[in-house]
Amino acid sequence: MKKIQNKPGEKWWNEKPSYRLYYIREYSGILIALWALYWIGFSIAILIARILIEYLPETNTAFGHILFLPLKYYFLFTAIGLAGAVIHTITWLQSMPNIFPFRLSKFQKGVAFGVLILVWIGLSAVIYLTIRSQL
Amino acid sequence: MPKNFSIKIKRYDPGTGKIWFETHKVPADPKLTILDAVRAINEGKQASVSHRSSCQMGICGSCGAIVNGKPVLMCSTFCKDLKTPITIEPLKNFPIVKDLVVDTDNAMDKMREALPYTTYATSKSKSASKQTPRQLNRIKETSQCIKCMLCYSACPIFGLDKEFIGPAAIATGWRYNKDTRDKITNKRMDSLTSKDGVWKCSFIGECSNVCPKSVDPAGAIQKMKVMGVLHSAKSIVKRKKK
Repeated sequence: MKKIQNKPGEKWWNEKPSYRLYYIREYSGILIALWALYWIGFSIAILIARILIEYLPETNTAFGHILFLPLKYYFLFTAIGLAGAVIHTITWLQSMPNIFPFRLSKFQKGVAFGVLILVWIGLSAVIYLTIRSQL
Repeated sequence: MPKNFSIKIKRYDPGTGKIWFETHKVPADPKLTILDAVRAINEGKQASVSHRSSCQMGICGSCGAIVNGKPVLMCSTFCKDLKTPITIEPLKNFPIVKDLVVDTDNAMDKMREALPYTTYATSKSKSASKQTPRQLNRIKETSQCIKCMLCYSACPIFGLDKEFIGPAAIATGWRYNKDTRDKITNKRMDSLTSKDGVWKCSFIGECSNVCPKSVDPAGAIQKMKVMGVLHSAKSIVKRKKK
């Protein structure tokens, strides 16, 4: 008797909303990673620029394009990172059914979700305001 | 509620290798389950749709199928709650034997790898083994697993990688590891945290969504990953001491 295989298709990730949600959750991590890389690079650039301005004032123009980027670009990067963080938080919370060893009520889940979003927005605001005061 | 339910069944004939969809009308009834509908089609229309079933009350776990794209137990899914036409397909990720009958041997073998028994059960001791209600509560949820294989059908990781031990086996392993009467935790951990064990789970979470007994295999896997890290650390320390 011949059995036939019943494997997931090439587009299995598009078969169910929960699978799509899983991919959105995973890929939204890339936005956060880019955001983090951008801030690490930016912080190092500022540090190097300040040292150079202090000790070698004639070389400061080399980092001018980083230090004096129009503010709207910084705002854009922060907004992209914030969007990624919010999407990641929402999809992560939605895709974990009951993974905690304790049970959360609907209200408690709402509070946890609200706090996480506030943390992300607060963090983005702090970073943006810090940059604004530096430039 | 409509006068008739339109039921679309995926058929497979192993003799000819033919696959096709067949649509039947079944008189609507609010108490009609998918299993009842399949039986009505077989009895009334001589359709001879091959399927598995036994208890008809969501306990034996033998009547799993994909209904409207979701793995469910046919006996506990009511036609009135579904959009028509109702599509019934065999469980995904398992080879199809005929119509709605699938070969679950691979997943059953995985269940054996999780050593689903306590040493108490295998020992010759006749003394009573005591367990407090609190100890029992810790394993109560995962004890509800009926091995219906819906979680395996919902798990794309198992579908893509047949070596993955799978959700039910890990949930069962967790249940016996947390059993206070058990003495073979280390042996079980070696199998559950091997390269084909818990680490392959990327936490899609669909296994917990489809579980008819609310076992939460996704939660058990995450907890097992923590246990796995501690088990590996202990093994390394033991090896160094030797």
